[in-house]
Amino acid sequence: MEQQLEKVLNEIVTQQDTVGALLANRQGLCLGAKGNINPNVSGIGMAISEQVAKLEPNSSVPATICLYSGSKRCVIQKDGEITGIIYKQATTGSTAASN
Amino acid sequence: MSDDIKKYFNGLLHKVSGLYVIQITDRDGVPLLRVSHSQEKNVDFALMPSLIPTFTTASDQASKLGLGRNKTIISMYSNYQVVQMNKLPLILTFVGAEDCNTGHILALEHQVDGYLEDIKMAVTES
Amino acid sequence: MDYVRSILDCLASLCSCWQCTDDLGTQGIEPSERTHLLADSVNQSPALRRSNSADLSNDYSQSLPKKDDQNALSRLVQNTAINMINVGAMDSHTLEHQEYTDRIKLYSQRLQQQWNNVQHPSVVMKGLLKDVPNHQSCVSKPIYSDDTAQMKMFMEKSHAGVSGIQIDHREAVVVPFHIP
Repeated sequence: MEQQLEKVLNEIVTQQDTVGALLANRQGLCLGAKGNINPNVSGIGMAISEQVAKLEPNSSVPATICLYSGSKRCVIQKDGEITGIIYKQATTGSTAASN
Repeated sequence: MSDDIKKYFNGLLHKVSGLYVIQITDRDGVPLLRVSHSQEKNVDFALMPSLIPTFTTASDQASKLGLGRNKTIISMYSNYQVVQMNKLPLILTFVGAEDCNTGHILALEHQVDGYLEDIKMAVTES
Repeated sequence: MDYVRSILDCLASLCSCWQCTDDLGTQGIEPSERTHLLADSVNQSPALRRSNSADLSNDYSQSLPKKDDQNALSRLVQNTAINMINVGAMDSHTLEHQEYTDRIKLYSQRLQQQWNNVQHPSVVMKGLLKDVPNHQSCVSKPIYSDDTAQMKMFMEKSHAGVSGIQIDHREAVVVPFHIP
């Protein structure tokens, strides 16, 4: 039924520094979650991305949000009907982008 | 003094875009607290006397399906969505737009739990 | 999706053993606020019931030694009634207008009283610069290109994954429940 989605989530979670990944539908309900992430954050994650989208109402590219906490960071993107949330831990080997 | 709690629930109401009404009633639909969006006048059906008792019965019956006690019922209508939570002796009702963020409404649950404990006493104490 | 699976698992185990553990077993057996005494099916509000409960339990305990069999039987009937999914009972009673307004008054009165005793969680102003002890380090956080690339890939694959969701049912869609 949703094996393909599970596969995607599994693949994301096994990537470097990634702690957990979650996907929400257009109602803010969790479609699937893998790793160390609470499915209840789906609604709030989507709410955050909707607020951020208001900053650039004319932008056609979906905004990516990055929230930093002490040891982890949370990356959110809402693209069309679905919202993705990825938790990552303090990076060990990533290279910082110039902007 | 209950202004404080009203203010708090009003704050919650405005946190979720598209949420019109938060209502706390007893199991027969007698309201204890109700906050609503001032602009939205057409959501009085949340006060419809049969809405809450019907939820209570439906939740009762749904608890017998063998999946454990029923906690929440989400009803989607063409113009509204209604999220009702079984917090007996209280019933917590949210009414929002049909495209409102359901996940966000559900996430409010644990934020109000502490306040519900206080309100519960008004229904149970004799 | 894990949740759906757990529900299915639960259903499957229910077919083999009705006496499930967890909260399933507790349904309807323990007396609660909702328990109806068949002999006294008149609806009573929880507020009123409290005051009458002493009388009720008195009646109950008096009848207990006399009609033990009948009592056991009626308890059996009661438990069955509680466990049965009864859609016919859905046409719920509506409160009398008088009781409705009375209760509104009662509740608001009690809330008012209570509110003087309850300790209020004081409204604390929150702010990013106040909440975060070392905000300098936050300002200088870099944005990793890996993150955006990973998210981009995640969303692309997710779109494909979500559109691939469909129901493939292998068992009967309608399942008869074995109600004792």
